[in-house]
Amino acid sequence: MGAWANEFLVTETIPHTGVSRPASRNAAVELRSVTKRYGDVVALREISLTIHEGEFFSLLGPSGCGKTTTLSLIGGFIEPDAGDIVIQGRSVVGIPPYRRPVNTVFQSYALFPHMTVAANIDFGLRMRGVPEVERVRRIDEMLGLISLPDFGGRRPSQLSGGQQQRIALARALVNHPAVLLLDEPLGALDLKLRKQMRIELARIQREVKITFVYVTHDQEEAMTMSDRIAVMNQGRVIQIGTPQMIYEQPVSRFVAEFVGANVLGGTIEAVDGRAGRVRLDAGSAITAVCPDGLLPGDRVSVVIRPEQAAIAGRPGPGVNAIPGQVLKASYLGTHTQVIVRVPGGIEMTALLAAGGPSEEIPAIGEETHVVWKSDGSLILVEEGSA
Amino acid sequence: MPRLLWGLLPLATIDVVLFLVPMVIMALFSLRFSEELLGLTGRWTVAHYIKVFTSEGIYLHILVKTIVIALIATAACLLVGYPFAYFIASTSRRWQGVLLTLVIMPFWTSYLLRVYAWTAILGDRGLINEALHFLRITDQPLSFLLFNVFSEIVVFVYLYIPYAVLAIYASLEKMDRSLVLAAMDLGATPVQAFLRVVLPQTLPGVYASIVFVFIPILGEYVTPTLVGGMSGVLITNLLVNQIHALEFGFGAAIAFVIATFVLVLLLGLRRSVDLERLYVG
Amino acid sequence: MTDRHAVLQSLVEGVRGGRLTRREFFSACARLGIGLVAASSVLRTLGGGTASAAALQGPLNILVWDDHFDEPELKDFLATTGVKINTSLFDENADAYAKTKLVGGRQIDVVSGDALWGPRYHQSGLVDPLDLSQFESAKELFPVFREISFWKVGNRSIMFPWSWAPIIPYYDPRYVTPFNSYEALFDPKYRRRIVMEKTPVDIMAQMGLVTGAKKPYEMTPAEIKAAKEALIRLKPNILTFVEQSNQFVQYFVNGTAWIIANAHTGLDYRVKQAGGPLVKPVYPREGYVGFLDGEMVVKNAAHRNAAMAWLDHKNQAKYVVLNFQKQLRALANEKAMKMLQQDPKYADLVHATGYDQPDVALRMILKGPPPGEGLKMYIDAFNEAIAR
Repeated sequence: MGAWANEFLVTETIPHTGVSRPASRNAAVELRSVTKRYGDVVALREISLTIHEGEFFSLLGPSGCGKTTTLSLIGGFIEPDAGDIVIQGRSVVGIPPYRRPVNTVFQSYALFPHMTVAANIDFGLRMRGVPEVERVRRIDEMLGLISLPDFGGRRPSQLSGGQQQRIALARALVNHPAVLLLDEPLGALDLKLRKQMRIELARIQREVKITFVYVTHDQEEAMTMSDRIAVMNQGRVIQIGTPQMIYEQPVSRFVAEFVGANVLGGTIEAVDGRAGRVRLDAGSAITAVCPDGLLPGDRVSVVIRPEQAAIAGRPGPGVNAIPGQVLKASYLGTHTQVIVRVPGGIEMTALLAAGGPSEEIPAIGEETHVVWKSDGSLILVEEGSA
Repeated sequence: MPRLLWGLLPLATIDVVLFLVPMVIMALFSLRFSEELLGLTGRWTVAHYIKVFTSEGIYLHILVKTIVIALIATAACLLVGYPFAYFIASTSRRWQGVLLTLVIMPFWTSYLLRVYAWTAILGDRGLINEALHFLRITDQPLSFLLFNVFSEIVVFVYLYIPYAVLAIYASLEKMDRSLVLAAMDLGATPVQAFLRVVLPQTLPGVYASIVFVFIPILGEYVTPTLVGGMSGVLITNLLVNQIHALEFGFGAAIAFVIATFVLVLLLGLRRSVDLERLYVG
Repeated sequence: MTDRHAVLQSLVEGVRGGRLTRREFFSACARLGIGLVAASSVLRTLGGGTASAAALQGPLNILVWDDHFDEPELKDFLATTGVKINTSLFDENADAYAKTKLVGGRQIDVVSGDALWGPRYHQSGLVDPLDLSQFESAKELFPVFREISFWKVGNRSIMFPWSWAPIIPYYDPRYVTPFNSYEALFDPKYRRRIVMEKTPVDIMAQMGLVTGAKKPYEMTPAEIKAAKEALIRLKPNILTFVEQSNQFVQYFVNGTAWIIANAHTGLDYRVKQAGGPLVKPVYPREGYVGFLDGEMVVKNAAHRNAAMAWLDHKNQAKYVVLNFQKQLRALANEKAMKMLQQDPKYADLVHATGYDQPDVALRMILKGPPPGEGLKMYIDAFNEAIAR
């Protein structure tokens, strides 16, 4: 561990003091051109990442994208075939998991069933030879942090999934790791609990100010909790950025689709400064913000985020519009989600804010148009064509 | 509830007819003294039990020897069987199937034949001695390989290790593999992870192994007869000699002394493990 | 009993051949006083329409040593009488005695036994002595075996004699200097070189011979103690006990054993046949034990007639010859011996096994149960010796 980290760990004895996160942007974890193969299958292709101290960093992607492999590499459960992994300025390649300043919250929680909750939390402290008085204090502190103060004497089998989840978190955090790795920790919980735990996790992370590396395939989870997100696909990092950047400026069709945007294929018809005119494969012509360097005839993807799309029976002039048929409309409280099938069989999603311009929930089967403003969409060069 | 009880009836019948009734008959034999060969009548007596504990001390001596040999063989089964079970559990599904089949393969051949086969391995003209001779390592066959306590224990380990492997494998298989990763993640070296997480988790399997290995060895007759020679005589050999001479009463008394020991051992094991508590609070 | 049986059989044949009407048959039956039970059993035979002409009731249950019968005589018996035979095998006299005592004639018709076990069975009221003159095949026996004194009950014999053999030491002359006394077995140079069959009572009797007991199967407590000490002394030289004497051959063949201390005669021949060394028999000067065995008919046997017919059948010389060729030990049937002497392949062996010298059988100290508490003492002493 670096000197600063030691300082941090020693002085930061009461994690939930509410002190603002350190301004320092030192790297907690660095992956440098890391490649990992399983036989002929390449799980990771030369990925490079820098995760900052105190950051809540998510690895987001579909299953098989390499995110869990990345986590295992940082944890030391597997070793890279090429490249370097640096934790707090020190290469950890070849160092076994039990000597890395890293702890993990496993997807299955992996609580020791033959030990009490307290003994579970105590395990890491005991292994690292922390004196007993200190251990007892830290266990109590952790049980308080996760709001389960009187659960020390119970067995994991007596706890609910959510409680087990929090014990797993406490067991890892009690060691004050330089980096906490979380492997889809909410995956086994039901939706309601999952939403609660998101808030809880974010709160705890703010309190303890430990670097969290969080693996998930759930974009909403990543968006709500993370400081930064790395979107991964097929063993590569596609985009790294804040949730806002990822959402508003996806660099590829894959990222856009993964974060839930509507993506339509088309061809550039004309470029006029920042505005481009695109003939969609679905037939309509629309205008959108166009990146530099595109020429008429280029294949592109047009990205329209659901909340920027609306529904209009008779679209007015100056807006982009595609005709379609309402497939489904769901009232979500603050929003109404409408799914419209447009020519080419593509299903587009529009999120209508309550009290917005379309007051009425459209009927299923109704002929309508999906409309959006020309600055409400984005043109991306289609992958593999530019 | 009554339906459940009816469901248990076949089991209860089998238990009573095949287990309890013979036990009671044997208990009666052990407490009867008869002048006639195999006399079923006679007077009540504890003479048979007294004889087990007197008789120049030979029955006690051999019983203790039997227990010691069974302990050594059981320990060897665990020491060899545990790593092997661990290895099996750590291989891929397909290999696990293959290896487990190999483990139970000996059961496909006759038990007697398997014991007997060891005389062909350890004997003066056996596999080992012939190999040593062929390699010019020895000049005369090593005759200490067969017909003694050593060969007896070797064959016990061979015969009973599948039970140990299977019982331990079953408990390893049940264990969540990520617990080992979690322990290492929390700073445990592989050895610490094994001692503090894997071993406690698989204790039920270890105790099951002890039950499956130690107890049957206490009743072993064939192995000491075929490969034990003169020094490998165990308690059942003495018992069988008595039964063949129609001394059912004395034979039964010896059997009940062994059975009592086993019972005490089982109760002790249960108390010391308290298997339930391993998983439930 | 047999006469009545023969009459019944001829009657049945009469009905089948059409010489007698059914009515005549039944009146004949009534005159014979056979009664309803017998008649119905005959009717059952007739109704079944089997090729067999026998009126014998089966199946016959025999508790037997496996060297006392072979497949051919079982098959022939079934073919000629229609009676199926259920065989149960046993190893030890005491086991068979216990079974017979427990289930009696209801489940066992014929039981095999060793010489002095016969009187024990008879004293316990378990068997009926046989009138050997009623059996055709008994005429083929050496006369001496028809007159075994301890089997005699009036002019009947408890057993139908079958086979006999001395139990003596054999040694491999490549390693062992010739000897004529049991004392040689104790020589330290034969450490772990002696193999014995595990027959506790007989081993104790042999040890009794070593220590000068007058009656090895009826030793006094002091003699038993001395015999036990001898066995303890012999233990270092014993490599192992075997459960069955047929395992002896391999120990000589592979050179593991130098001496087999209690084998039946004929072992030398078997070892040679198996490609082993030419081992030598010893008839120790202290004497030697041996067995003489036969079959008994159990009291109140459920299928007594079939039992008698079976004994007559299986003791015929033609089957005894086959049995000798397989088992290679002396039997009681003289006619079979003479047939074997004509066969150059077996002539020598007849002599080697003593088959042609029935007087050897009479010189043996015969196997039997020590009387009263004796058996218990023998076993206790044996256990004490081997557990030491």
